[in-house]
Amino acid sequence: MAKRNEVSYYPEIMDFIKNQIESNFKASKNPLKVYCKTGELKKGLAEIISENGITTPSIVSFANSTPPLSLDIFALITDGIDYELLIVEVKLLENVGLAQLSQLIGYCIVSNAQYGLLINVNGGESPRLVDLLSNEPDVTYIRRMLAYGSRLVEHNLGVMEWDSDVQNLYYSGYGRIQSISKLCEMLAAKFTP
Amino acid sequence: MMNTDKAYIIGLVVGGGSFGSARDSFSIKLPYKQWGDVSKNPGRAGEIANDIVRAVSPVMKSEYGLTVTFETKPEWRIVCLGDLTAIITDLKSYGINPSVEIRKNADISKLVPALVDDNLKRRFVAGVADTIGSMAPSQRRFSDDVSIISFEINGFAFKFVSQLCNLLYSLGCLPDQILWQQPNMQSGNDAYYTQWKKGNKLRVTLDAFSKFGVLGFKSKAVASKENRAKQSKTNIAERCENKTITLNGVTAVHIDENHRELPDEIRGGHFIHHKQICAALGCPHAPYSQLDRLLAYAERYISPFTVLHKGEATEVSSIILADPLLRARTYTKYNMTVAEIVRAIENGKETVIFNGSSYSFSEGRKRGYPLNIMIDAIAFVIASKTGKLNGKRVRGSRDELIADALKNNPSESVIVEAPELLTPLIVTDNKASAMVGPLNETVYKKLISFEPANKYKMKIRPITEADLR
Repeated sequence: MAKRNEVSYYPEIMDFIKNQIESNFKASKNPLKVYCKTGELKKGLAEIISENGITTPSIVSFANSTPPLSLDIFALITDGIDYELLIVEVKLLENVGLAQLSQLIGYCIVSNAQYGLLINVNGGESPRLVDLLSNEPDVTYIRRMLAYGSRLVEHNLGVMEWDSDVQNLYYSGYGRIQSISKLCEMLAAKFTP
Repeated sequence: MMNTDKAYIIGLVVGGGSFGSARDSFSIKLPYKQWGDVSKNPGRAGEIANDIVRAVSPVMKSEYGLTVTFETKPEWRIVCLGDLTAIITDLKSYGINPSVEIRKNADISKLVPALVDDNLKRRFVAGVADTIGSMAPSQRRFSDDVSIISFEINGFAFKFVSQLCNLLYSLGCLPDQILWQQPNMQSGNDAYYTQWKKGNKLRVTLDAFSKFGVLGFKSKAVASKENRAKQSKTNIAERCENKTITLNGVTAVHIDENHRELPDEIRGGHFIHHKQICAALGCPHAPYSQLDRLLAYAERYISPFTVLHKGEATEVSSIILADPLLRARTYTKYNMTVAEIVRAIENGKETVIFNGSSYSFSEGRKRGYPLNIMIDAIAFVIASKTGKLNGKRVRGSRDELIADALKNNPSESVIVEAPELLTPLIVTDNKASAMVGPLNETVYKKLISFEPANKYKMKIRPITEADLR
């Protein structure tokens, strides 16, 4: 069988995460919607808006103003009034390290996405990253004051492993986002009036 | 509040959870004694350990703040340490009692409504499958061509088995079969066999299970792939409603049909097929029309006596002495040659009737002692003499054993002690004996009734001497 490249895993990971988030919202009777795409953010947001007839001003405005950003997977979560963005950075490496986490942090900062997952396919984390995540919790919980508008933006990050044999996501136990269920709790809390 | 990770954890706990008196720990037993034996299969044992660390530990930590460790001796178990208040509260809210062996009395009727979509249901099933879903090589239907995952559910949790089966059904994962822990099903021939409590088995073909696709443990996912790779074809599961029921013989009324631990729907009933138990439990998917057709002629498929019971001559004598109807019989001894019985079968005869001093073979099955069972009894007696028994089972092929016996001694014979009424006869060499029960459709029909509130619970009243005269 031909060796798969990283991109070939995007659809299954995207579907899995979308299903988990939707299930958790359904179980908590939370009417949040989840839209997922792979690829470039600005174009993907435009497609989501067009395909789903979204007129929510905050989403439309964000889609217009966000810079082009090549992402692996992203999810737009909305209650019809407000929205949140989740960025998923997928790697196919023996171990992911600070370089890969830094890439995710960069994407989150540029897009103001408050949630980010670093997912390594069939691989784990480097010992250095494990040390860092264990001893420096702030690395995956970044609070940033925007220069314009004095708005505080949080970036909550998690590190997980995708096992393509089992088709399951394993949690590393490191980082601010410990699990998909915890991610959903965080998201739900954001939309709670 | 339910979520995808809790659904998986609760699946693990329902499958293997064991709560004792300790307030700060509980364990999840993994019945991997053979499959995950550390000395016989260290590679797999390592994978299981890795699965516990990767799949269980982080979710236990994030959902309930529990620390996870594991033990491999005397059996595999996941040990969860910490404050159990939250998990016990959750379990109780879903009607699950945190007991010493949860699955023995599990009832998931309150849990299922909380699994609001297929994904949550799958996560729960994954937890159950990771604990009690056996994919040991013995879990096959006849050959490697039909690999199975078998949910092994000890005890008398009939309701849980049925609920789990229906949950799988709702996901489009059609179970292959349920083997119920009920005496007629575990010991259809032998009315006196007491070792019938072998657990319920809910069996699903790996093809069906993999299509619907959930396992949390990589060791299980790998085993599933390996087993499926041995198949030369894909097995398509059939809806229970459409399944054809075939009955191969008669089930004997068993001494434990009234076992106190059997559920009300089953206790005191007589069952001729596993699907009849599904129906008596009210499963919406049971093949009711086929059952109706079979039960309309149930007298063909039941016996108030043992069909076959094998044992030492003294043990068989005590059974007869303990039963007033059997004790009161007059037994006449016949010396039957094995060759004449084999020849009768070859000539299409199915039963034998004894009449004072003679006997005759018949082609019908309505009345008389079934020759096929007689041959089983004879094989047992011959094998006991020649040391070819495994317990009470004939080692190797029964027909080969009979053929060998006839080759060594063409006039090989056995003593048959037949009663004057149609109650069980005895095949014996005075050391080993086998009781063979008769067929007697017209009389047996009179013994059958059905519980008014549950027409699939068939009842057989005890047979009397008056019935037989």
